[in-house]
Amino acid sequence: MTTDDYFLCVSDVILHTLINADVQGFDHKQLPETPWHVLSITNRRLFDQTVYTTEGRRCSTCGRQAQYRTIQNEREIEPPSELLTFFCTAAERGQGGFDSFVTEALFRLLKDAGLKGAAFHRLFTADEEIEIERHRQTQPTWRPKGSAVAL
Amino acid sequence: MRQPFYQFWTSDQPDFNWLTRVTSRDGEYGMRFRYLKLLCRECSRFALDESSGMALIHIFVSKLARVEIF
Repeated sequence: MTTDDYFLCVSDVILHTLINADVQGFDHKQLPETPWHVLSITNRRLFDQTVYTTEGRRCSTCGRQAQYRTIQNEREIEPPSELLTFFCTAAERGQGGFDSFVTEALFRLLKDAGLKGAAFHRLFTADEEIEIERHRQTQPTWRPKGSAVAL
Repeated sequence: MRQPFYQFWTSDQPDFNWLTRVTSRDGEYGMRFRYLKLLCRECSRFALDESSGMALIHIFVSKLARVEIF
């Protein structure tokens, strides 16, 4: 789960799965007297910040500006070299929170471990981008079959 | 061989945040971890502290927070 101040939390079971599999790219800390652990994703990758859009208004007090839309394509973020790793954007969104990612191998590990309550959207290849562009001229929400998985 | 990557989201938990739920038996709340330095009074958003990396947060029973960045 993600708290409303953008902390990513996992259960005891999932944390032990991550540690036992030697998953990279995160630090963790237990929430005292609970079975939950906060994950801090430490593998930060350069990304194309132009994917974000904004409504143009800044908070009058702190000056922060909410940013919308997200990374959808592989070319928009520097890929990690590790096989089993979390990674995230190098910069926080204007309203807080980082976009978070996993490798295919980590996705399968989490799925096999019984993870629930998360949605995974596969980043598109260059070939898929072309295919999506073609389909969305008539079907605006079209995406390749199997590219979005809810656990 | 290149492997695919996935962006992921987890269920948001409104009203569950670090300040209100991290407790200890001593009545003092908090822990050492990468943490935030600012709560905006206007939009109520936190910001992670990019420079120091770690912070020590003490939240007292009154729910008033004292934040020490180091």
